[in-house]
Amino acid sequence: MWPRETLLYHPMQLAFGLAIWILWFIVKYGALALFCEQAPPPIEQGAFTWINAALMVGSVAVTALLLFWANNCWRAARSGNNDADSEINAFIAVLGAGINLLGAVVTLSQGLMSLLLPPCL
Amino acid sequence: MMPSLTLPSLIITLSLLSGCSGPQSILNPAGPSALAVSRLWWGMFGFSVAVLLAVMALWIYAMRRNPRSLTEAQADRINRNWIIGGGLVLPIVGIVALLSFGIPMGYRMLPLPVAGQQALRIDVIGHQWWWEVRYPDTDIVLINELHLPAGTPVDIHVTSSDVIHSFWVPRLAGKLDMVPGRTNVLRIEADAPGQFLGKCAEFCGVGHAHMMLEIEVHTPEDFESWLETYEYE
Amino acid sequence: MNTNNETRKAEAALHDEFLKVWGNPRGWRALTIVNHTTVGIRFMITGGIFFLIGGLLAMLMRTQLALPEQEIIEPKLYDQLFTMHGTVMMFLFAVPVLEGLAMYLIPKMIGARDLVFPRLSAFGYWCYLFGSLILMSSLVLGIAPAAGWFMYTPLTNDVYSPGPNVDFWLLGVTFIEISAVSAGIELTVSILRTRTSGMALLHMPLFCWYILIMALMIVFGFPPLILGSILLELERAAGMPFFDVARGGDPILWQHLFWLFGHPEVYIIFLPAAGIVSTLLPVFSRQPIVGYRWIVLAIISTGFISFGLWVHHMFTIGIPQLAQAFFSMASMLVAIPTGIQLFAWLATLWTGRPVYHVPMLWLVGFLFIFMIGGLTGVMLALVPFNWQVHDTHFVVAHLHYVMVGGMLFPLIAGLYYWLPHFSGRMPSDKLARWGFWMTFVGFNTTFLVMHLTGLLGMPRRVYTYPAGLGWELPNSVSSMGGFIMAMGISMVLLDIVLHFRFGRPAGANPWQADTLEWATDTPPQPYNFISLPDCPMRHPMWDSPDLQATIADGRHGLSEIDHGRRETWGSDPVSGAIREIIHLPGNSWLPFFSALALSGLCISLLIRTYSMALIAVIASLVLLLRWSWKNGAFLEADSDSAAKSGYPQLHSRTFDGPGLWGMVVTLLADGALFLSILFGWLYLRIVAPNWQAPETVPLAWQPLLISGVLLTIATFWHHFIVRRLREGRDDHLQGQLWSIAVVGLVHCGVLIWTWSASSLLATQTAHDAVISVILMYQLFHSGLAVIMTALQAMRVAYGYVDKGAPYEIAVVKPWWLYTTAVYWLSFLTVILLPIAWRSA
Ligand code: HEM
Ligand SMILES: [Cu+2]
Ligand SMILES: [Cu+2]
Repeated sequence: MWPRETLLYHPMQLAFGLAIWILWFIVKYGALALFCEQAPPPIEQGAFTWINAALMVGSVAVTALLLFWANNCWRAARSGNNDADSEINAFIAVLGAGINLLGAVVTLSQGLMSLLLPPCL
Repeated sequence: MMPSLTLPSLIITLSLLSGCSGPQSILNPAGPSALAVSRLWWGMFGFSVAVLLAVMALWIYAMRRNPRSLTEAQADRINRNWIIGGGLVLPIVGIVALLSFGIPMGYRMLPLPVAGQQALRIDVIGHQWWWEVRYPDTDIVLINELHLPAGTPVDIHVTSSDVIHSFWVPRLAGKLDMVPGRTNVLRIEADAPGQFLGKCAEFCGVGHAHMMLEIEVHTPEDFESWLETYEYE
Repeated sequence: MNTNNETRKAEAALHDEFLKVWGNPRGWRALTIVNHTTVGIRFMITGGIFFLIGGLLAMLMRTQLALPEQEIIEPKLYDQLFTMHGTVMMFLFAVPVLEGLAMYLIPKMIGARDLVFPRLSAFGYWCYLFGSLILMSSLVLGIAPAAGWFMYTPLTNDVYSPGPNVDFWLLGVTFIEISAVSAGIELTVSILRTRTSGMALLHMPLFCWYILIMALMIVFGFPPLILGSILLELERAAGMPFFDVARGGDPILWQHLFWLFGHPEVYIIFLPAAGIVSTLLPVFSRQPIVGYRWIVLAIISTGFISFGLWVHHMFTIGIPQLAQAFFSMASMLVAIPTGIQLFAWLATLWTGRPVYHVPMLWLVGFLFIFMIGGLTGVMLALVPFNWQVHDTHFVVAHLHYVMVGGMLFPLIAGLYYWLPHFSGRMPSDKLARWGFWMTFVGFNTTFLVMHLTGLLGMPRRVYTYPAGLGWELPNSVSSMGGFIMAMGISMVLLDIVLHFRFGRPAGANPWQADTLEWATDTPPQPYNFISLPDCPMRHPMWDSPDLQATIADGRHGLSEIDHGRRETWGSDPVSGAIREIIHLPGNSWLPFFSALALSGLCISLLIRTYSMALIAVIASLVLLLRWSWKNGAFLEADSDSAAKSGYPQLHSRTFDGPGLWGMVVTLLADGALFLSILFGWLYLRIVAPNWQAPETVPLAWQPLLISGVLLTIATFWHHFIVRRLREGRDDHLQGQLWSIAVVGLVHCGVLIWTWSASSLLATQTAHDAVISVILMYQLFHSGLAVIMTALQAMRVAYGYVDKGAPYEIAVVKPWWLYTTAVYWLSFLTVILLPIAWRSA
């Protein structure tokens, strides 16, 4: 296991947050298609179906994870340990915070849609 | 800047004033869905023009102005304000505003069950390059014409027998693709009797440009009697 | 005075020696040139010519649409015109020109002497040229594709488009895409691994960030379309029903695959153009760009988010509104990164001290046009509005505002800006201004009213329209504007042509720019820099104005040339610290002939002469193997790697040289292709209206398991060899490699046997067709793994590979790993998943 610090300064942070978002999006979109094919809930239920609930719960969980990472990155960037690489480390960690945060924003705002619309119509 | 903008904007205003009323115009709605979209358009148009003009003005002013000399901290603050204000706040406010109109509007356009009423169903099948219109429960089959009752929600069930076409009556509602192997349902409604034009909106081969549909909207009573007389013929 | 003369003489002597190694041949041997400056310029000029051809097609369309019910152009031709216009503009103009610009600039901006795989650059160019010529020949023959640039099935299948028209598109465009993907791979690795000493990620010019993300987007974004084209071509030529509803396919799958590529494509075009803006604006504002980190954030997030939007091109096909809302939301959120960039540019102007030159004019034009395109884009992302204006002229107007504003205008700004770099001369001021104003006015006259045309209900892709619908006036105005714009563009061209003769000499760094490309000669020498400077900063030319002189003096690194090798630094992807010396290959016929062989393949598939296709495949394979033969420690790269004490090793002596990076990036593209296949498989399973799966899995699982185990053994064995090489042990290397190849071969044999013993009927159901494609894919990879390993075994015999030069064996390793991963993933989804599905 890598030390936490190195992970937060790893260039992977430049892609991590939004990659998680994409993965979640694929899962969500696929699951929606699958559920609507296999067991579509009655139209009368509107947006209050178990599918919507599941999607929302998932979105909130992913958002929370990404916010947690964003916060970690942000603090790592601020902490500024004094080795020679600190400038580049801070650069990556700040960007990582931004990417994770943006991933959270996109995930949540897409998730909110499942409060508003019926799933399969 | 000026001469370049005046000509097109003059033309666009002139034609807007004169020309929104075309027989196939989205801006000349004759049904609830189309009406909602045309209102939406005008709202978005106004907002966009305002944003465009404001940003252009700022940009040109920024190029012309003579900046007083700033300390680094001052410059940083100004810069950050611009980026956060314009890059985060402006788009987010815009998006929230837009979606708070758009999502409910889209919801209302869905073929939801109508309270106390069974939506009338009509089947439309696309062919290269003509429309086959069927009224289920009757033997009526029409070619390139569609009859509807006014003031009644109608569910058009569309599909295709060959390539993809798209069912579109601009003055009544948005379009919906006719895909072979699938049946899509479009809810439309006309406010009042009259004649409308439909047009295939998905390129479907050499005959695409001429694939038109004539729509005749009757009063509900006339529609009933039309159904009956037609069936006896 | 005297010393000055002497340094100049020494400089000239050094230059001559460099030229002996780096010089470009003339005459017909110019076809062998691999240098990035030449290849980049070739890309740009060829792309420019296609822009003019595409523009000509557009003018023909505008002539036909100028008045209602005209009969100048019949529908059959009109359909070819708009299809070819769109295809030419997107595939033959926009992407190649921007790639060419990137290829020309990137090494110079990061202080390298060439791109990292020079032969690949040349190969990419020839693929592009030959593919484009094949595609364009269809127009000359009057059998051009005529189904719109997104080629929706079933209109494009063999029932509704018999004849070769569609095949031209599928084969030609795929060929061109190979070129795009190879450029994407090359640019990615170059930016990450060949920056000059000390140029950390945070010092890279923003343009490099833009190109890096663009290149990665090409790597991930093009494979879905490549797959789609292969599937559609298989459906047309071999009758495998991927998109045919009756046999369990689905035409909507094509739309997904196309737009999975198509939307990122738009940003692939926009990002480099935005990169031009971010490069020019600070120079003309006389201050560094505001919000460097914000912009990097915006670039990366644009890259990602643009992969989550593709369904906004499919809002009218009848998918559930909730699913549409996800994509609608994501589409609107792209406004955030775009807004960040717009306002960072604004702030740069605001706190800077702008000066005015012609490129600035084009930047202002860009802002106006692109803003309109962006605003209508947000409107289109709103589902109910989209249902009305989708596929109308409103969309045509929108896409031209985005493409012309977001690509053409910045491109011309960049062209004017780098013109002194290409030619050493300045453009004229007067003609340039006329050119701008005519283009700007002409463009807006054409396309601003076109929004209205669309709102009045005029659909796109109609060759004519009836009078009386209110469309006459706006259409005539559009056509007039089109001709004004055409005149503007010709003036720009005239200006550029004339400046080569009449332009005043530019001198060094005429715009007082900050980036390293201005430290080369203008026009540049093929080797770019005599010596490679340290560059731990963002604005080298501002921080040390005498950089050009000290570089030419040979006062920085890697200025030795007596060894006769083309060399550049290989550096750490994050910190830019030097890791190795990359020994670059010189001019070669291989790229040209390989591309020629591939176009032979393309043509023989087009005319369906499969015996000829087989010959072409063998020829290409031989050429490509010859190519990888002449690599690494081959001949010229003899063992005196450390020319000067303190210098690192040559890359062929290392384990993670650029070749490994190239391999990994290639596998990313390959992985995107494979994921697209899996997507197709799952998609058809879930939503195809007539999906037909047999009761039992049609392949026997026991031999598949054996075959997989064999493959796994080969992979582990190869892995083990690389580990031993790392420990400095290479006994029995050759024998082991041969054995691995044999194990791989047996694995292939078992797989082929299982396939032939199976009940798969690839032309009967989509189910069997997809499984056959997965098998083909697997065999292609396994077979290539065997061939590459055998090739390295032979190179061991010749002494090109050993513990001292282990480079290529390390390059082959990820291929084995990938092949194995693909195998088990396919096993899981094709064999195990359906079993689980059925029992559930
Ligand atoms: C020289 C000015 C240009 C004019 C007058 C022009 C005109 C047109 C016209 C009339 C159409 C057909 C619209 C339809 O019937 O659907 C069209 C389509 C299109 N144009 Fe242009 N165009 C120009 C420049 C460009 C540029 C620079 C690009 C891209 C970089 C571009 C990309 C496209 C695309 C992708 C299509 C869609 C083709 C299709 O529907 O299959 N155009 N253009
Ligand atoms: Cu059509
Ligand atoms: Cu898009």
